[in-house]
Amino acid sequence: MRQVALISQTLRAAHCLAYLRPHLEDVVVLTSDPSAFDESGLEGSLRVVTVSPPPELLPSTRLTEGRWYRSVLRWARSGSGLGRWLERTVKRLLWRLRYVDRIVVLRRSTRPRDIDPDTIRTSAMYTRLAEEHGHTPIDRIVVFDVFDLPVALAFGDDHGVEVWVR
Amino acid sequence: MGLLTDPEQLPGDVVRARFVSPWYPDYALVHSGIFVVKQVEALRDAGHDITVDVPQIFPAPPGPIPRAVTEAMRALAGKAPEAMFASADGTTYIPTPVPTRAGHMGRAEAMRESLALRREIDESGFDLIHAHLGMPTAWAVMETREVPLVVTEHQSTLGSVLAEPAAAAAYGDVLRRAGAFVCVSNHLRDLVVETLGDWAGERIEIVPNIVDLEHIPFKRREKLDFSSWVYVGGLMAHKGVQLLVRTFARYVKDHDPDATLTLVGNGPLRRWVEIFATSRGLGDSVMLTGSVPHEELGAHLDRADVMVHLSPAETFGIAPLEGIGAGMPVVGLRNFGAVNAWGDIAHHCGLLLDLDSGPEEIADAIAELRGSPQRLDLAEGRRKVEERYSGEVVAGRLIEIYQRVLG
Repeated sequence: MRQVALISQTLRAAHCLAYLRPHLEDVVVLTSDPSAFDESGLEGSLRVVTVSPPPELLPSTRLTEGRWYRSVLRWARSGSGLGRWLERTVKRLLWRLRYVDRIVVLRRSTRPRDIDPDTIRTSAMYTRLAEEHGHTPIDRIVVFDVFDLPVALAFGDDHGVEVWVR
Repeated sequence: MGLLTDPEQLPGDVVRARFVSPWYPDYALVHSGIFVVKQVEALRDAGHDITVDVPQIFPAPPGPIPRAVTEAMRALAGKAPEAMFASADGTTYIPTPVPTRAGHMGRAEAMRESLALRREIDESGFDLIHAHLGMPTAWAVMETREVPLVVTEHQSTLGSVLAEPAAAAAYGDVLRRAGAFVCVSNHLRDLVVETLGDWAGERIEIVPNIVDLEHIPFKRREKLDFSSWVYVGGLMAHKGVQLLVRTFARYVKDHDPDATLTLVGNGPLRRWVEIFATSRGLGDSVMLTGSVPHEELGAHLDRADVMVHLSPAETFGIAPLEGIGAGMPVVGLRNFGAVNAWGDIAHHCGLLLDLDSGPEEIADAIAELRGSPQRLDLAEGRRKVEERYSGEVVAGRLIEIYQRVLG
């Protein structure tokens, strides 16, 4: 039986993993935060697909993605003592920013979410479900975040797929 | 025993009760609400017909739950109840979206909504509801069902519930309208009385939790050398796990370099325990078993010769009573639950130390007890635990309450 798990917001990732563990042979997880499944111990056997608009960059990533960062590093590694000091300082700053990243991730997971019934069938989740179903028919959608239920039900009604909440 | 669902087949004195508890094992939280499970099992063993509804918390973003979500839940519940509500062995799980930062009242209101949805498709009959927790559960269920209500309170966070004015008022309403209101310890009753007044105390009766010793045999320990410590419980800060591990390190250093500590349970402090033990050279002396099924607990207790449980606050505290039942001395702190449950027999069963005791003081006290174990009467400890907390005794008390409430 091919099952697709929907869990946009991952506060119930432990429930999702516990539920899926016996059914790994044909399961896909659709989520907006795949990092919640990084240390599941199921890497390699669980297919996790990221769905939703790409989240804003985290503060530390925003810093390292910039072109100036690469320029500074290139200059700092030119061999001078000042360069070594500068690189160390930047790395220390990044280390601290990672704490800020964690707070930002937590805040994002608890941000209010509204659902517009008119856009359910054009949502990223619906589109991704359609792609998965087109590739290999889905037998059951299992919803772990009830905010995904409207999309799952709409898709289930449109394509004759069973929907469960667990 | 199996469930009796057809009222025609039930003998006249069989009570049909619906338990409602947010704490109950599910496929992910297999140890959640074991004390509720024990009550269900004891009542079923006594021949009563018990079903269970479990409002299952689905954390949601702050703010009201969008209409699209509630409508989808209603549609699925109406179309395919088994898809919406997982169920097995007389237990039904009810998805309950609870907004973040909703507070205790918001949590209760969320539970009321989900229980109302469940009610719409529930065709089974029962004579009374036994709700676990005054808030949110009893309040939520009271607003959706009109059968007699029995409430059991055993939450360690009751103080925070009663500190929220709206939740405290709702709690008072539950207490007034419930057919019977039970606390598992005097401490919880005192907390309620402190907030709601003396009238509340008159409505509350004490029925303890069940301590199940079926798989925990009493072992007569010929020699107590206190070298094999055991702890049973969550690896969480509020259970005093850090104090325990620091105390153990002190004991190894000052009194017994060969001592070992086995921690039975799991939790967020697991990594901390591993790092601390390794940094103190105790990597081989501290064992972490993870969570184990209750049936396997007896084997871990059998291998130990002292249980050390340094939780600063407990509403009841089952693990130390299981340690006493297994015939080992127990060392704990004078928290409300311990004082209430085994304070009067502590002299026979181990040690209860002041709440502000530090690692050195506790380690020294254990070493002192090792030097004079003759004062212990561990067989008497087991007898007392059975006499007060066995499934038969507690189920008997509950049945008396049910029959009184049903008139």
